[in-house]
Amino acid sequence: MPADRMRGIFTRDGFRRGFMEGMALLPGMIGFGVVFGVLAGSVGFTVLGASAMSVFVFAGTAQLLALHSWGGSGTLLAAVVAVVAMNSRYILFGAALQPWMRGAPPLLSYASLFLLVDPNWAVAMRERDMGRRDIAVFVGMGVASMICWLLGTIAGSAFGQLLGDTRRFGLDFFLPAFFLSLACDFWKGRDDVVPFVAGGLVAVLFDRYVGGSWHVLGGGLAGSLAGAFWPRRRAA
Amino acid sequence: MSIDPNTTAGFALIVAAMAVAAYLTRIAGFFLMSFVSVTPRVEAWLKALPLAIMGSILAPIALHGGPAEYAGFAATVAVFLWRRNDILAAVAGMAAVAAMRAALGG
Repeated sequence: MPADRMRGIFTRDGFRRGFMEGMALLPGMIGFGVVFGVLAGSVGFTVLGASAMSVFVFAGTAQLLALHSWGGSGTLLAAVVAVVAMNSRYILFGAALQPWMRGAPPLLSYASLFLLVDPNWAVAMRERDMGRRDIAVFVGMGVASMICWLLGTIAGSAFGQLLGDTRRFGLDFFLPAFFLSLACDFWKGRDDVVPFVAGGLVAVLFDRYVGGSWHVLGGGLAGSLAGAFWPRRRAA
Repeated sequence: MSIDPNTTAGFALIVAAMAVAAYLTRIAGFFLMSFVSVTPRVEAWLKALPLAIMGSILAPIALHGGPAEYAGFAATVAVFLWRRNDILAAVAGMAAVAAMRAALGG
């Protein structure tokens, strides 16, 4: 029975928990949305156009990069390349989610993945490491992120020109800071040095010589493989 | 074929193409992993992935960053160790960066 198979995999409680945790990310997500909205407005997007892009593409860094080369006849290709370059990390994120979502109906998994962003992925990995399998936490946080992102986009594209330079609010630092605190949370012992440092080193090389957001894919792949093949100190 | 992003139809088409590309990046790894069985080695790989990703995101920022970003990193770690709260730590890091940028006039 599908209802039985779903037990514990998608609960109302999990959704609420994910949604509330996502709402706590509000300042960063709205701020990021405002940044996008302001820039979108400055290259001539309407509020509706900027909102449509935020809902359907739902990828902050990719949308920002697409704005850089917006306007000419080559816009289509440049925009798609921007999305692939910036979202390449999600290929790895999705791979890591798959074993965690095993047992859920494929339709639910594929629909949930539309909401994959950085914070709810990291929280799903934290849930995985705690032995929890409730996909609704991931979805709830994704929905909250979407709402904040959309509200920020609307505010930014409608009124953003009044704000001036948004960097002074430190909003660009919110996501890195969130990842750093999650890294502290994930840290269990000496074995964790290998993927973290190897990933960082390879990412710096990619960042210097390749550009885009490929450094996250390159570093993430190299660091995780190093972690998997490095001889463990602890007896397994 | 050239698409004009300044027309409504052109804009809609570009957004649609971006949306498809973005969704494909979200499902590609998931789809491929459904053919892989989770051996102990694969499990070790997936376990190491979050920290590898975090190192990859943070290292270039650390390399390009200045005093404001370092203060932000320090505040984040300090508040995390103090309160064990991810989001509070991130907000503290952001506030430290904003304060340092204001102080340094950056």
